[in-house]
Amino acid sequence: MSRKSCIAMLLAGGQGTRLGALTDNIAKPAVSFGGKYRIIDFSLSNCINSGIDTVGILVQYRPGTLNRYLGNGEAWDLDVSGGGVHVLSPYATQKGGAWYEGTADAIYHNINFIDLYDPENVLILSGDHIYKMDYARMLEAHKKNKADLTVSVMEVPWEEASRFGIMTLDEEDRIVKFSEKPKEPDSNMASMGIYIFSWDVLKSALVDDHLDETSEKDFGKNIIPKLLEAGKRLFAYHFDGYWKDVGTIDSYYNSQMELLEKDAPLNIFEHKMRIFSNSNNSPSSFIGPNAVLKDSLVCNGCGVFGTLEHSILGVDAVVRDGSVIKDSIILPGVRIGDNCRITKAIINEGVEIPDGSVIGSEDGDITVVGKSL
Amino acid sequence: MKNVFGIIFANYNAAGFGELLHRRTIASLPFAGRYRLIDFPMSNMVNSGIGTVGVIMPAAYRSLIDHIGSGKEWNLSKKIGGMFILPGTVFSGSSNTQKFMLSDLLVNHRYIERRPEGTYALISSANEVCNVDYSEMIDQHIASGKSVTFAYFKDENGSEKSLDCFIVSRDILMGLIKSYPRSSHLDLVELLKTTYGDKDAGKYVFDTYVRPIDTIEDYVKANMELLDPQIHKLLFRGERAVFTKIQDEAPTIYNDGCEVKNSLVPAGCKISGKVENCILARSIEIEEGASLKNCIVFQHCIVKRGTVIENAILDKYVTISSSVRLCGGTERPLIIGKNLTL
Repeated sequence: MSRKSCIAMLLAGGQGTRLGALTDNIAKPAVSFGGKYRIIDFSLSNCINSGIDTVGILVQYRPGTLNRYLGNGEAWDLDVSGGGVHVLSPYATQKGGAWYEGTADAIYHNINFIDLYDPENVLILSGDHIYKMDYARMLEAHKKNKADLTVSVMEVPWEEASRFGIMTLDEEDRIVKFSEKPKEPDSNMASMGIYIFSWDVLKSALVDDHLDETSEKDFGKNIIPKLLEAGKRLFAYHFDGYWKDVGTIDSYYNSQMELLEKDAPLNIFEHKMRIFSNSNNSPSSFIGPNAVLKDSLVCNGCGVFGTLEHSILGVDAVVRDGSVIKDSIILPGVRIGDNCRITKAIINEGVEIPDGSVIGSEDGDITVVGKSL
Repeated sequence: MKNVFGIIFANYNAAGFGELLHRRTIASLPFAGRYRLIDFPMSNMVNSGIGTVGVIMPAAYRSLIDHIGSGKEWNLSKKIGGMFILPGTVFSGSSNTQKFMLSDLLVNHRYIERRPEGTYALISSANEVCNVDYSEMIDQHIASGKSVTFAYFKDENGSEKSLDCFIVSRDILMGLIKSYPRSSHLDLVELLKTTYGDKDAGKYVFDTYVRPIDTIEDYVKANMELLDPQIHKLLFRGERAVFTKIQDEAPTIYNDGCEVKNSLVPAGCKISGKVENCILARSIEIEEGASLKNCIVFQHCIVKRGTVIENAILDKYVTISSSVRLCGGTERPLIIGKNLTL
């Protein structure tokens, strides 16, 4: 088999505690998004749309739903010979087993796996970002710059820069300084947590870092600063499209509500860089005789008999007669009984809402219903 | 896994469908927005535990092959058994309405002879809308020791009609193939009935929702009946899924000002206008101020603002420009052919 130019390693092991009840039972990348997608669909679709056909998925926290959803990768055209989707969980050796301790540690424990493919470069991705990006262009820049590491960056407002990992660049976009959440930022170029490493450079950095007992084994905190210090060639790749980290309930809610806007910043309708998902075998939705639909997204398999206003109805969800759903995200498989009022709420997958329930309010915070009432 | 392999005859057509069946066979006629008629026998066979299905191709097979592909969506892309694309005979031109010709088996005798997956053949046509499990019929046939068992269903008036589906042993099929090597016009069903008569032919009656699609009236009626939630549930939301080609469309967006009532709408549409009693397919755009009533709309149609359409069937890629009024009869809908821009 010829050497692969680039394979991807997708970090999907985080618990996502800030998503509260939504990740009680499933890993964050497996959380539903936009009615029919799961968060991981965006990264996986980006891979195949960028010509990357080999993806290692690092799992750790409650991987059941995620594993089942991924299957053999067929839904993303990632069921290929000589590549495809590989779920990589922590494992045991003769010396015992260990959990992945940090992002870099997870990759360290899979050096053998990556070596099986002997890639020139490794793309490191997070499983909790919503965006469309052509990694092939980033890889091109990486090769052109003869970089050891290329970090995808985007411009953020100056007042928010202190919330990000900030890259200070020279005039050729070479990274001269990296500061994790700086109090007084001298740049507003934020790392998006998307890295392309030359594999030989990354491999030796991981081995060194593993021996460093003070290290937190994290890409941002340890690996990147060390490479910078060692004088390696670190470059920034500028991305100016839509990108959202959906790690909190607020950002999870707002980024989905943005899908309802006219000329939404993330276009899920265009077939260019299409987002694939593994949730497509439900019949057409049944729109009842008294249904009212306004500014809403409805997936396959739904039954709409009530009113849906500025809301998202996930696959196979049902809204019975007389119910009014407003500014809400109804995840797949939810059943909402008769005469309910649901306002500014997120209803978790498969939850049953009994007749006459009143949930959430227009002025309050976002209400999350994690389990059936 | 059953001791049965499947054969679906998809190489005949129906008359009176106008442009809808001009370049496609009835097997690949869109139905219920996301489906094509062949999805029903394919899914029924798979749901009954039949893992080997041969599909006899019509002369104009493009749309059918495009839809069934490798059989992946029906779990028929596999090593043990799977889906087999079988040739039809020269008589299966687009105007041919005869089903179950012996000649179609003659050219496929190797498929029949060498199937290690089963010693019985379940043979079906491709124009019946139903969600059934053949298991009981198969068990009954094998237990009865009869030569052939024909499937029937009860129509709306309670009278029994043929389901165009039967089970017969491979040996009997091979015997017929060897006995009539040059008799290509013979009808397999007639032949089985005359050879085995009433005595050696069994009968199995399916007591569920079945709609044969032989005429345009049947087609419109069966589509519109899906607007009865009970019938929709019976066909699509029971224990057995109906499989179809996956398309990965985004959810449907209902814009402010749209009015959608009593309709079936799959993913991938953009709706700003009025839709009432309609069966929509994927990737349809209905602009503001457009109005559709009692229509069946195929994929990729665009209905522009100010247009009013009633009782019509719009084939794929039809674009109706602004302020047109189109109205068909309630019995006989207006059919607008593929790719037309009005």
